[in-house]
Amino acid sequence: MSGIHLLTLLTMLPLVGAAIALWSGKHARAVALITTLISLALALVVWTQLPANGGYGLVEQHVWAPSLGINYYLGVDGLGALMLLLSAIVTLMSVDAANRVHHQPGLYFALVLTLEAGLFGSFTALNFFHWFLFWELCLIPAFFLIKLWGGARRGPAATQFFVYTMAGSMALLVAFLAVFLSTGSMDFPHLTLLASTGELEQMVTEHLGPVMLWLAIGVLAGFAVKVPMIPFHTWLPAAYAEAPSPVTMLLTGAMSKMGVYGLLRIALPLFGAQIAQIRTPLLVLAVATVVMGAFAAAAQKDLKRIFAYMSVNHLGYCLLGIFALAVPAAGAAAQTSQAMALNGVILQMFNHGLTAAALFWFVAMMQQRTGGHRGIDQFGGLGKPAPALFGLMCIALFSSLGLPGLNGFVGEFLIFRGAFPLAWVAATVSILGLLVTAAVILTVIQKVFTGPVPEHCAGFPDLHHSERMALIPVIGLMILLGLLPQLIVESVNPTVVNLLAHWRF
Amino acid sequence: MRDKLYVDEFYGVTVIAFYGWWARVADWLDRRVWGGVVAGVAWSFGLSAQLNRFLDTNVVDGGFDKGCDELAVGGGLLARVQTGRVQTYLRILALAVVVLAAILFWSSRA
Repeated sequence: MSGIHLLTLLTMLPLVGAAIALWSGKHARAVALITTLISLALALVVWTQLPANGGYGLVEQHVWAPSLGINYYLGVDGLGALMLLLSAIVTLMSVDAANRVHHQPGLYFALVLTLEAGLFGSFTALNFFHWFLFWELCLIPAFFLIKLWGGARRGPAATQFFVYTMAGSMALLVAFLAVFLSTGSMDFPHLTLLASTGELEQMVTEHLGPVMLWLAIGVLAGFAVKVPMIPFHTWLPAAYAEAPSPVTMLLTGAMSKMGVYGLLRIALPLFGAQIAQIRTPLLVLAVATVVMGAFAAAAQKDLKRIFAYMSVNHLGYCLLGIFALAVPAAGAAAQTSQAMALNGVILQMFNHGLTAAALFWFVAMMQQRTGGHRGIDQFGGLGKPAPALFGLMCIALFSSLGLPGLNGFVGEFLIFRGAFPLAWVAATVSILGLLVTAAVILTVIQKVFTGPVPEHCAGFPDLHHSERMALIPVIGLMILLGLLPQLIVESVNPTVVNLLAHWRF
Repeated sequence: MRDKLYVDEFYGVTVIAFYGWWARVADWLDRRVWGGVVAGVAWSFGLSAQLNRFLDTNVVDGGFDKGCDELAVGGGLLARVQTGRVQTYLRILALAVVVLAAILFWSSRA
């Protein structure tokens, strides 16, 4: 298969699938399953074709609107390819989980596939305009999926999600227009090169005055909403709780990674020096995201809100690693710590996506069996009637807890190992988040799976054969990556080295 | 070991109490403080939308509607002149010539 068109093909395929699904009625889910399976196969092909030097591979570049700096410019490195793989896996899981969409299934699966295309586009675009199109494209199907198929308070949740993210996007757009006016370019690799030599700051200052720090804050605000970072996170618990669980799987498994990806692809390469200037307040916000996210999870009674806040906490570790490494590295030891932290962040993105999506999948199964119950106090003793659910969900929960031997541990360990020498106070306080998350997860296991079985759970059926077959590969991947993280690290590390070589703090 | 040296009780009033209290604080901050800021921003947008509607309805629309009414009245008066009778048009033309002649006469004297 020609590398020239592989990324375009990968991005267009879900859109074609969406068009077919829209007119397929009750067969829409089958169309979506086939499309997402082919997408996953293509994402795996992309993963195997990464260049060994950690740079961009499978590059496609065509002039689009040169006077405006707009190019059709695609390419992937280890980071982008891993996110493609994650998006493909999570969308497949989401489609598999959505087996009870009776209201307009054609439209539902068309929107899911459009969202997948948006994710693929934003993880492969190397031109700001091109990237921004797909960034915004993701927002529209997500809004309608929450608004049309969500819970009782879906209206306010969808609106808050949309308005919040749009506000962040506007800050990003304004900042990038200023960069374009100063440099005449919107291509990420070119701008990264300018930033690495200090020319970007010079050009912006010459054209617009000393605004570089404000531009950095604008870009950070856009990504802080998407990740989310406290205090820009209030849209998340409502959106995750009100969205149907298969959609929540997409929001937490793939869409939240767009924010972290943006920080790594745009914010750090272009505004590294400015981020280093305000590193301390950013680290405070990262630690707040870790610790307060974990404590807020402890106060919740709704399983979806618990996992929503745990997502805030887990993405807080990514922020901790990112802001900790934003410091001029003096010596090989500091450079090694930076590389470890960045490897950890990228692994955490993948691992959290996989685990969090699986946890919301389990919630969907529990809701289907109990007529929508999802309060932890409404369950109890499910380990007895549903041992397979108990066993598999516990593996996912322990992965989220960061138990050694499972995938969740590796990313968090590398982040802490890298962040500790670079920002030891922040890393030490963040350990509190690990402890509280462990307490929350053990409380969930205790309340849901042990003790007496409540009356409405008396006939609680265990996982069906098809459900086990769908879940086993996901749980197997958690174990595999926990034991052999080098399967990812070996492909990602050259990209990490390459990225760090071009960042200037 | 009498009462396990009160380790469980000590643990309860320190670690467990801190955990529960701080969890409630985090939840309160989320709902009241951060959520309150968002609600405040939403409320201010709602207020400015209401104000905008008021100005639109009572000032902009009012002024525009009044202007339209005046135009309609003026148009109605002009329409009365448009009778289709040639005699009327000639009378108006003659009157206009007289007015113009008077203006020219008075301006030449000045």
